[in-house]
Parts: sequence; C-alpha cells; structure tokens
Amino acid sequence: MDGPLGNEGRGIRDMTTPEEEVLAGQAAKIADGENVDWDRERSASPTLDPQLAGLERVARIAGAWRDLGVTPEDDDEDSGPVLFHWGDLEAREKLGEGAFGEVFRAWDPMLRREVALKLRRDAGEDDSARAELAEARQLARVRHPHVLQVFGVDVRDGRAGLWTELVRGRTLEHELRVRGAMSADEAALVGLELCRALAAVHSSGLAHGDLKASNVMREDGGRIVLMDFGSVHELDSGMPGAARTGTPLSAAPEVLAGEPATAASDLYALGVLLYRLVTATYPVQASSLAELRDKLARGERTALRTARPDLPTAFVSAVERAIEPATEARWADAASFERALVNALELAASMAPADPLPAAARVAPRRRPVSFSMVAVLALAVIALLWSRGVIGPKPAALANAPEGAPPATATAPPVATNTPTQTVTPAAPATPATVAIPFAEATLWRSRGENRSALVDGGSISPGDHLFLEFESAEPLHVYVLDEDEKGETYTLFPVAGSDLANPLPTTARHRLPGKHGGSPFDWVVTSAGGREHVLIVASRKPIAALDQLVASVAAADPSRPVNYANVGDETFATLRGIGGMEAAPAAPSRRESKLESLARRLRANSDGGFWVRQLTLESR
Amino acid sequence: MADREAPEDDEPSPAPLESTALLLERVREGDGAARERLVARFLPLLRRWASGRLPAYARSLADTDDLVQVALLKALDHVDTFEARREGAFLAYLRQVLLNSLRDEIRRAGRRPAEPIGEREFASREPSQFEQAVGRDTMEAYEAALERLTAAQREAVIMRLEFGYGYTRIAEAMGRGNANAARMLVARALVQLAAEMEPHREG
Repeated sequence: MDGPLGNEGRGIRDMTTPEEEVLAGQAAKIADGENVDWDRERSASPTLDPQLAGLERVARIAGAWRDLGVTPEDDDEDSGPVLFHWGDLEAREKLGEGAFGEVFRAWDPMLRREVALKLRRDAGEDDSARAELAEARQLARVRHPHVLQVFGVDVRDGRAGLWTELVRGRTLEHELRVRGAMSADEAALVGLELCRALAAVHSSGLAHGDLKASNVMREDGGRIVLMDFGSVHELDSGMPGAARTGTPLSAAPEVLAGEPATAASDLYALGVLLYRLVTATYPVQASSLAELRDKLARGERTALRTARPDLPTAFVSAVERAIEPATEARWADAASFERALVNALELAASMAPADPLPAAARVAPRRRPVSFSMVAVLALAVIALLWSRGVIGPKPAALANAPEGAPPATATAPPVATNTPTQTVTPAAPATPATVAIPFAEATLWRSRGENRSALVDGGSISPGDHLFLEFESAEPLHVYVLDEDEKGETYTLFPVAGSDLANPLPTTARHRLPGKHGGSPFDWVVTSAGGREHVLIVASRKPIAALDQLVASVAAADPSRPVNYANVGDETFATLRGIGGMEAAPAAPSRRESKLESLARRLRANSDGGFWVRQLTLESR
Repeated sequence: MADREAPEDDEPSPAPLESTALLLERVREGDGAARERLVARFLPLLRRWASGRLPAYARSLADTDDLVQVALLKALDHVDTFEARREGAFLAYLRQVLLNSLRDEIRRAGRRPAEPIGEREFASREPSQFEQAVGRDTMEAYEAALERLTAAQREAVIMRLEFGYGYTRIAEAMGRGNANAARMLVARALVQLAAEMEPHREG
C-alpha cells in the first residue's frame, strides 16, 4: 500500500483534517485485517496517542472476531486488499504468469463469485491476439460440466483478458508425478469425461488443440475439467496448428506436419493422454521435433500392449485406435471413443471375480464400475445416519428428494461448493435428508440394493441384504468416526476399521467411499439382521478426538474377514466421553429412551465450536 | 470503459444470488419459499456467530442450533415491525434478537432456587470465546459504544468485524456505491467506535 490508506483509500481522503485521515487510515487497516505496529504509529503521531490507543483496542476486538472465523458462506469475496481493478473485476492474488501474461484470482461482483482472470500483457491488437480473443469468445459459448466455463472476454484498461471459473484441484500431470501410472479403469473413467467434454467443444465448432495432462484438472471433489484453451481455434479456420501447439509429443502427426487442429487431432491427443496415464510415458518418444516427425513417418511407437501387458484388451484397443497415425483410422468422433471406453469398462466388470452381490457393481459406473464388483460383505447389523433436527441439507434438492433408484445428483453435477448457500431449513420437516453441507464437509449415507440406490434419511428403513456406504468429501483433511448402536445398546465401530485403505485423517484428494477398500476391493457395510432401531453416529473433526479414539479402540470393529462381535459399551466409557471439552450433564431427558450414541451426538453437537461436526441418524431395520 | 461482454448463449448467465433485500420484501408478502431461503442463508452464519458469544457452560445447557433458529424465526416474524430493507439493518436486528436470547439463556442457566446469581457473575465463571479474547471490560465497552453509533455505523461495524462480510457485499447491503465506499464507511465507523469506547478505557 502506498500510504496509510493505500491506493484503495481514496474515498477516505475527503475527511477534513490530516489527523482524521491518519486515524481513518489505521482504522482501514484494522478493517482489512492488517497488522499495525501501534507503538510506531503513536511515535509517528504523538498528538493522536489517545485516539490510536482506542483504535488499538478496536483492533483487538477485530482480531478476536476474525479468530472466531465467522464469514458468510455465500460470500467468496476475499477480505484482503484489491491488487487492482480490471473493469469491475477485483484482482486479489496472482496465481501465475508466463509469456502470455498473468493469471489472477479475482472477485467478480456481478457474479458474486471468485473467478480466474487471465490477462495478456498487451491490448491484444496483433493478429494472433485478436484471433485468440475471438476464439475465447466462441469458447464462452461452450457450457459443459467438464469444460472450464468462460464467463467473458474483453479488452479493458489497455489489457486484453478473459475470466473463467476458478477451479481448485490438481492437474492430471501433478497426479502422474505424485501417484504414478493409473489403472486402466481409472484412466478410462477420466477418458469418458474428457470424451464428453470434447464432444461439447467440437459441437461448438471448436477444437481444443492442446489436450494434455497439464491441461486437465481433477477438481477437489473429483470433477474432471478440461482447461487451458490457449490453442483452441475454430475447426474451419484453416489456421496451422503446429506452430500453436505446445506439446509435440501429444500432437497428431498431421498437426505436426502443419495442418490445423481438428476433432480428430483432439481425439489423438486424448488417446496419447490415456496412454500416458497408464504408462507415464508417451507412445512415441523423441528428443527433438525432427526425431519425432521421423519416428511418426516410420510408424515407430511403443504399443500400449507392450508397455502394459497387464491391461484389458478392450481398453488397449480403444486407446490404440485413438492414436492411429491416419485420421481415417481413428475413432470417428468423441462419442465413438466414449462408447469404446464404456464397453471396455463393462467388459472388465463382467470379468471381475465372483461378487457376493453382483448388482452392486453397477451402482456407480462412472466412478468405479469395476471395483464395485468386488464388494466384500461385512457382517454388520445395521446402519443409519443421523441427522438430527430440521436444519438440513443441500439444495441438492435433487439429491435430497431423489426417488429411490434415481442416480445421485452428485454423479453428474459439479461438486457442491462449500461457499454456496446450499443449506435450507425446514423446521417442520419430519424427515431430513442424509446429506448435509457444512462449511468444510459433505456426507451422504447411501443404501444400495440391486440396481437401486438411494440416500438414507433419518427415520428411513433398511433391510437385511442392503448395502450401505458413506460418501464423504471435505475441503480439508478430517478425522472421521462412524459408530453404530442397536436397540440393545450394543455398539461397534464402522469406521475407522483395520484392513481398510482409508484411515484418519481422510485426505481431501477425492470423494471417499467409506468404509474403503480391503485388499484393493471396495467393501460396504451390509445389513444382516432385521428388527429394531439402529443409531449411527458420524463425527468429523479437524483434530483427532481422543475420547472417540478410545471408544473406537474399546468396541468391536467391522472386519471384512469375520462377523462382528458386538460389544456393550459400559457407562464408564460414556462418562469419559461426557468429559469432552468440559461438557456437563444433559438437559431434560427426551421422552423416549435416548440411545448412548444419540446422547453422545447431542453432547458433541452442543459442544461444537466449529472444529468438528456431528450427525446422527436413526433407522428402522425391518 | 467497454461493457462486460457476456457469453453469447441461449442459456442464461449465472444469476447473482437473490439479494437479502429482495428476499425480505418477499417474506413481507408472505412468500414461504423466500422465508426458507433467507433462513438458509443466515442460519450457518448466525450459528457460528453464536458459538463465539455463548459461554461454554451455557452451550452445554441449550442447543445452540435451537437458539439460533428460534431467534431467526422470531426476527422474521417481526419483519414488518422494523426497517430492514437493507441487509445491514436486518443483520443488526438479527444480532440483537440473538444477543437477547443468549442473555436470556445465560440468565435461565444461572437461576438456582437457593442461589440467585446475576449474569455478570456467571459470565465471570465461563466467558464466551469472544470475551475470553478481549476481556469483559472491553466487551462491555464495545457493546455500549456500538449502541451509541449511528445505525449505519453500527451496521458497518457488525457486518465487517463480526460477520466477516466483504466490502462489495457491505456496499450492496448498505446501499453504497462500491467496495471502496464501503471500506470508507467501515473505517469511519471504527474511528467513531474507538472514540465512543474511550470512557471505558482499561485503567
């Protein structure tokens, strides 16, 4: 900042005296959340000592409120200073820069959301810049869940730029570096979504032109997003593609030869991407453009079957066809490629090992169509979630109100943003959805049976044979505890459980399916007995809760290799739990007998300071 | 300056959220859906705010969620009785209703048949997080000073300091032109707040 008010403090200069301006400047810093050296300020303005002392006191108050972390969920606006304005957009933070220009995180007051602002260094008056801007305008017409949404393009204040949705996540390139090569199934799932994205781009008369791992993001929550359309151009523009394509190893031979990018060359690039996702290498490797062209001309490349002999044939064939040198030998369009990948996945699923409940394999084909076929049975008696009273869940009304058997809204919709006003309140509602969006986490308890899948609500019913699982995702690592109690008061741990690949704290890298995988195969909780009421308690916490860890250790846990032995938790254990955070005795007892987990839920909830949340669901087992 | 260029598309652009003022107007007209949306918008915010103002022991005696919901619904029941066309005014009113409810709850928790105890004594046992952070004298001086500010100043302070509103939203809520104007308003209000707290300075 350039002075007490910085360049954002213009409006305060109309205060009448220099002293008032000094005070207002310090007050503005308090409001901005900046630290102020009060001793220095008082030394600099000794005549204002009493007033500055008063402001210092106000600063302590502001700091106390800030520490409480109270902010509107539907207000993404950054409280920090505005770096500069570009039109009505407020640039807040530089995210990166390159030869093209700079990228900022910005606030769009019209859309009331954070956006990514990509600014060229110039006004975009040369031919190539004009062409890029024109193409970006075209791209703004593409609306698809897996395509980065462009909000607008303009030249303002002498700089050309475009603003898009701000995607928080990791590129596939990053995932490759961190995790190594993927399985064929996982790569095929990525491929499906990118086929759909490309179909949307191509149907708008555009070609992406630079599809590669670093241009595809996996958003926190799992959505695949096709990004960076720096090389996008109209299919009929005739503009040579080679010069504009930055990744020769992913480029189709005809593009390297100077022809324009097309839908066919995009599909080639997608084939290379999938090849790379499962091998961490390229089908044709070269150290120079000349060598690459030479190898392509000679048809030299490493067959996918050679690089990964273990991959399913259908997947290998789908990818190999996409990277055929001759355009006419490739898939005709994105939809054809997508169908091939779907077939590969279904074929793989049908060849999976015997499945105790085969239908479960088809619950969520877009996520793990194969692995779902290996559901291991946990001998559990129950389950249910709890959602207590009438404050509830996300607007995903589509999800909350989904009829039984309907696909979950989250299967196709972008993940629910934590900062959107998704909560609704229905004080009189007798049943509450099993999904709750809170500032940092979202959870849904699902029941699947055969082809049907439905979100469980408090008061819902379950039956022997039902598969239950919890989908959970959060914006930060969380410790999750899931416990169950039957009508007899017998309690056991549903999560964390030994043998699962998931353990606390759960990372934020994906939407988790609890209880997780065992021996590489996902497993569910399965209802094995009928009758009575079941109480499930779910607690998510930023920090481990020692008392819950003790409880988890003291009761029987679900084990995929053997039936569960129930344990009746003694009152002593719960007395210990009551001590969490200095909690006291419960208020008036409810009319019916309160289960221990219900009691625990109520106490935890009452004691919540925002660092953890508690949900309870009671189900009728019939 | 060139106008924003909206994407040329048949689909509508993402619409800005309904303003609180618009929702309040609809609530006045008896729109139940608007009432629900308004509650959904403010409930999480008020819950977090209340968790910082409620002493821990009082939180163990009453469900904060219930308290907040009741206060919110009570405020909406009286939406015709006060000037709340501005979001800032509505938030300030909500805060007052909730603060009164919290105080009532503390008093209720403090009553013992054989040992009537005042609110201040209870507060001294288990202060709220906010009070723990700033001290009781400063908290009381702050509350008293807030009362002496103009309505606009009070709303600006509450929105920015207590509820963490961004300047753009404050500008909308207060009917100011832009974020800079809102920042100016907040800064002036804080200067005045400091002056009003002066008689309560710690010795």
